[in-house]
Amino acid sequence: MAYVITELCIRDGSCAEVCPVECIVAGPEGDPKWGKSYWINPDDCIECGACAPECPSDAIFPEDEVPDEHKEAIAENRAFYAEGPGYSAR
Amino acid sequence: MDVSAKDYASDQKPTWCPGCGDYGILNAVKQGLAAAGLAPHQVLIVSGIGCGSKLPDYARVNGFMTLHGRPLPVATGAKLANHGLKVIAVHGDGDSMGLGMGHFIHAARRNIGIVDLIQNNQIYGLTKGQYSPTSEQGVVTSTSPDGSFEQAANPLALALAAGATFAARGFAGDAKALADLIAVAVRHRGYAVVDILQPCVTFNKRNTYDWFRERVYDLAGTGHDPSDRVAAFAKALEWGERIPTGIFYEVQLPSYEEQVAALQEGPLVKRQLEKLTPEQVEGLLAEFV
Repeated sequence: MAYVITELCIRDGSCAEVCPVECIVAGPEGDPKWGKSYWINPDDCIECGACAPECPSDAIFPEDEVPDEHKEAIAENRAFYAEGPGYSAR
Repeated sequence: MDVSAKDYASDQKPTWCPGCGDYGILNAVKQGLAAAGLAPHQVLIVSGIGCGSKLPDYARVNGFMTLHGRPLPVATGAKLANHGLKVIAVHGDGDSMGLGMGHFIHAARRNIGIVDLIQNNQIYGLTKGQYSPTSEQGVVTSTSPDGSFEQAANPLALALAAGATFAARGFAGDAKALADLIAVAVRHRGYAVVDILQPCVTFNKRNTYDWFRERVYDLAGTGHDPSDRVAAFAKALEWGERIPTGIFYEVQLPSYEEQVAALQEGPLVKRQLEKLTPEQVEGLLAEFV
């Protein structure tokens, strides 16, 4: 069960610094669709949980614990890598 | 068989530290087994004692947590009792290179059909950071305050010297490449060891993800010949500024279980037990008096 970054993200970036498999990438700054947040690649996330406690805005949840009001983030994180810029934004 | 890594999902949540290399290894085990087309019921994972040895609990497979250092004898017994199972031993560097080192040498020598995954974080993590058999010389820990005086045990060099037919190294920070290695290892005939470089984010402050990432490289594409045992041994001794990963050595030789006549009709567990006659029992007892 991958971790998910929700819309609570304030683009602090501490999550990406601690991710051992480097599967967290910032959306390109200013991009209307992706620029608001960092994104986790659900296919590469190893579910180690290093990112969640680093987040100053508590924006990161395990997929099965994402609050109902942020559920759309699960698909968004996936879409950033499937349809959006993904790793090329690094 | 159509299998996905999700089929290996367990309802147990790991208790490992956030960022632990064990997560990458667990992920790679699930991915690798699925890629090899193995279903959970076809797999037995035997572990010892250590942080990483909790792995069987976190995957939906047949699991057996044994004593510290003893996964290989138990896995050997399981393989002989049911050689239809894919038997995997998972244990740390303390378990495999400390108390279990004798078993390791003999498993390699026997070419018994076991995949041996060594979660090598170069420290005793579960007991809070004592130096282990694979700790680098000079490393300062709670039990080596002046730096370790001992040379590090070298799992791959030992395995190759003992006659291992498959020797590889992966990195927990590259779960995809590790999954690929595991998928190859589980298809190997006989004993297959994978030394897995694994950061311990809490107690090993030296061999970190970044430390490894600056050093590891893939043997594939370097011209290394995995059928050349001497070349594999030379690569096994390489450590420091550059650390090789990938398949060091791979040859196909008959496994131990393939050579046991009694196993040729199929796994022992599938055989019908025949009731002995009183005469047969008496004959057996007579052998002991």
